Amino acid sequence: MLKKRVLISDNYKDFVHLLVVFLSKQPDIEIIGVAYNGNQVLTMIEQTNPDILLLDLIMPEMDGLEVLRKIHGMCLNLRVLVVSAIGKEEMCEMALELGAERCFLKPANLNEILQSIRNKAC
Amino acid sequence: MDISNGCTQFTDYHRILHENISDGEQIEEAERAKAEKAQQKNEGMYRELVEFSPAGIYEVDLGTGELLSLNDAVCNLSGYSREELLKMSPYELLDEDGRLKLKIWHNQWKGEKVSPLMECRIRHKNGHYVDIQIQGYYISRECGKISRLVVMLIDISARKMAEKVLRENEERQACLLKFSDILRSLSDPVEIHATVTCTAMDHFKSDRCYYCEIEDDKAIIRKDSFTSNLKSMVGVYTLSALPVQKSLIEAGQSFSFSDVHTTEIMGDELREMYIQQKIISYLDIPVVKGGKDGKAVGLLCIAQSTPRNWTGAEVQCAMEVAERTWAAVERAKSEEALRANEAKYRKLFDTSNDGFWWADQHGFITEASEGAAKMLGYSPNELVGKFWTNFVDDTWLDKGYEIWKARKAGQSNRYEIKLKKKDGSSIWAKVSGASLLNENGTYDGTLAAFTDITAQKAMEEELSKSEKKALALVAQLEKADKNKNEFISVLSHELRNPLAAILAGMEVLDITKDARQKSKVKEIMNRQTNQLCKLVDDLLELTRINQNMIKLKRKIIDLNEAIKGVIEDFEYEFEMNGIELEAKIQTEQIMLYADPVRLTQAVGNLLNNALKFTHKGGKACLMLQQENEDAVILVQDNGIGIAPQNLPHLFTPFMQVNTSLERSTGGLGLGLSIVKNVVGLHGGTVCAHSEGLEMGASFSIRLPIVTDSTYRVEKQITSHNHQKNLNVLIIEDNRDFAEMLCTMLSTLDCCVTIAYDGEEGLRAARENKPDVIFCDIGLPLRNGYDVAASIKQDIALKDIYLIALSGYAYEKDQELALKAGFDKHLAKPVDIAILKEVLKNNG
Repeated sequence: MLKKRVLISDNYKDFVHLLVVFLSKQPDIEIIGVAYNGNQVLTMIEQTNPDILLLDLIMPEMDGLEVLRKIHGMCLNLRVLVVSAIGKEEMCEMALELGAERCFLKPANLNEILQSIRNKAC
Repeated sequence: MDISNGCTQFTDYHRILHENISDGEQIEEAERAKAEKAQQKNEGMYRELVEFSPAGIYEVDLGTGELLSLNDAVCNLSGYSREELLKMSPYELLDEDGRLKLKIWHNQWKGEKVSPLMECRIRHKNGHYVDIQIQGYYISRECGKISRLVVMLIDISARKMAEKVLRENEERQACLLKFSDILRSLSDPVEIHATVTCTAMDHFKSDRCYYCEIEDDKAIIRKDSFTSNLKSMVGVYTLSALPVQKSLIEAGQSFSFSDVHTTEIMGDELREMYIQQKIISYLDIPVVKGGKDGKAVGLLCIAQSTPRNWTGAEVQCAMEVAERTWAAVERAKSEEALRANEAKYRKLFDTSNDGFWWADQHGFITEASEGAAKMLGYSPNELVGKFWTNFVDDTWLDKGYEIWKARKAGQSNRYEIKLKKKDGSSIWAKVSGASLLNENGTYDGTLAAFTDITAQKAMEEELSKSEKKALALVAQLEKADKNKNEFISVLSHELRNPLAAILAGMEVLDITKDARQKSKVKEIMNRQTNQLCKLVDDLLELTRINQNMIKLKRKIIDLNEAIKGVIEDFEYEFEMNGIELEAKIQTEQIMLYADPVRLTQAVGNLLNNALKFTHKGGKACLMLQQENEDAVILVQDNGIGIAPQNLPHLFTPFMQVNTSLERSTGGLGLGLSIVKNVVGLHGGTVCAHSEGLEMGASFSIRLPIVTDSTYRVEKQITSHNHQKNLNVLIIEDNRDFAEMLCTMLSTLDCCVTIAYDGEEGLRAARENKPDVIFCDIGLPLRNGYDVAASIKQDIALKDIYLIALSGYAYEKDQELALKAGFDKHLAKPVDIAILKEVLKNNG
């Protein structure tokens, strides 16, 4: 069975740490990297070609929405799930418009995120 | 007339004359014969001469009284033929006056050869009279005896006519001169009526005279003159009731009759009316004005209660009088109207609240109204003779000169200007200035009318101010609302992150059995919980600051020690984050009157920022030093720096967080606004500096220190003054100043309470009964004067020593304070020496 190759992007390190621990324990998921800012995300997508990107919208250097715009032009077969602590609903809507599959508002249930990653796995 | 009788008399006179002459002459015979011869020779020549003479000549036989001969000229003069004349006596040609004159003429002759000249009239056959001049000559024919009389008649009617015209002209001139003289001095229309009619009555020797003013269909007689047996005709008459007169008056034709009984120009009804008024002969002269289609405007009437023929000269004269009367009445009327108008404007000028003044062409006031004087605080006389700039506010003189320049160029204008009163204060005035020109069209002066609009201006200004204030408030509220929304959005972000970590931690704990991993997860959850707690604390702190709920617990501290404590707290965290922290602290004590907890919180916030915004391997530095009377705490790092556009907003809560979506270091960014408020409460300042992004940042806190001298003063007072500590109340809404004063008073061993508004101050005074109150003047709720008055009225409080504190140090302010009940007035800033002095005197 091919593992889902997941790229995590979030600059909130404590949360990233816990997310990595949680997902690492899943047999069908492989974490291929963690990016702490927007530029890192784009570089790592090019380098690792992940199946799934867990994207934070509020990051230094380049925010999540800008990352989505860039990905949009790259014509990749990449699923993007937004996991973010945004306080404005309109940002969520914009992310969906820009191609994100789903938006998780922190604090989000990790199992739900897991389900989402698996749902379209087939 | 009895002609035959007259003829006899004539003959008698000739005879008497003849006898007188014959008695007085003796002529010699020879001479006589010689003379007779010569006489006969001349006879023929003489006859011829007589016949063709233009003068009438006739010859009378003195003996018989018989008319001997006459020439053609006599026939021409008299209209009778030679034959007719030879049958009648020349005496018959004379009128009665002529005969009388002839008698006198004969008496005057006294036997001279040639008679004196006599003028008389002879009656022409056609009934007219002809003026003639008569001269007689005696002729002796026989024996030297005078026997015949030759009379020469010369027609002088042309000369007489000319003389008559001349005389009439002179009379008319004299009459008009007389009227002109009397009219000149009269200014009242009714008086003119009275005088004209009286003078005309006298001049025309009539017994009634009146003048009507004609207005449309009305003839108005205001005053008339009449002899005592007649009645006045003063009144208003309707012309259309007198159609005959009306049509003549309207046509501008005079109307007259010499005897009402015989005139045919009126019917019996009208005749009866005239008779009733005893108007038997009558002359009226209308005055017509307005050119070809003019209408009658006046009517002069002269009447008599006996028949009278009105001569042409009289009519002419009456016309002139009527004309002059009308002109005089009109002139008087317009003068009267002018006077009334002038009186009206004079009244306006004298009584109006508005001001008026006239200035001459050089700009000096020549006349000013009571209103103008009152407005400017002068008496009218004080204004006169002064140059206009004396009354214009100094700041408006340029504008004043500009207007004056235009005025001199002949422009009238309206404008608003500030005028200067006698006491130096100024008023706003709305001015209408008229440029006055003389007959040559050059500038001759100014008439200015002005209204005091100070109150109106003040109201407008107040209105515009409050409008601006309202608009600013609305903008501020809108901004605050927007900031609040932004803040909530950021707050939500900042709360969600630690919550997410805690929730995730719980889920990881569920599936983890590894004890080491569990411990790591718990550590994270613990840290995130703390983060949440700090957020909530910051929020509450900010709210407290915003609501001015922070109360400092101040005491004298050594800042070195406080800072050392903060550094110890942070050393570990810096080390953990791989950032070097350097501390440069003075060894000498820096004494501060401060709340140590708040102050270390403020410095801690700055260090926390340095920690958050400095890259691993970076460097931060905390420096403490004394600069003059200030302690300066400097926190510096070489971290991410601050963009120049963000520098001004760093300390503003909510503003700062606007851009914080780009940040990801956690925290609400409320730290700096808390720092600013805490430092402010201590009477200090904080400022930030950065060269830009990635250039590091530095923050410096500046706080007033307790100097050695104040410290010593404090010691002195405590050691030398063993009285009980003074209980002092400070009522001051400026918190910084209140705290400062509190610090100073504390060093003087006073027990200090602070109140921030008038109401609170009064309450505190009643509760604490302090020994001394320092009270600001401009306070919220109740001002200082009010507070002072209330305290002095209260028996329980009236012994409190009241000191006024104010930003103003004018004598006026001092007076006002003392009047309000204060015992002393101090101007801010207050130094400790003064406080000491004041308290010592009171103590």
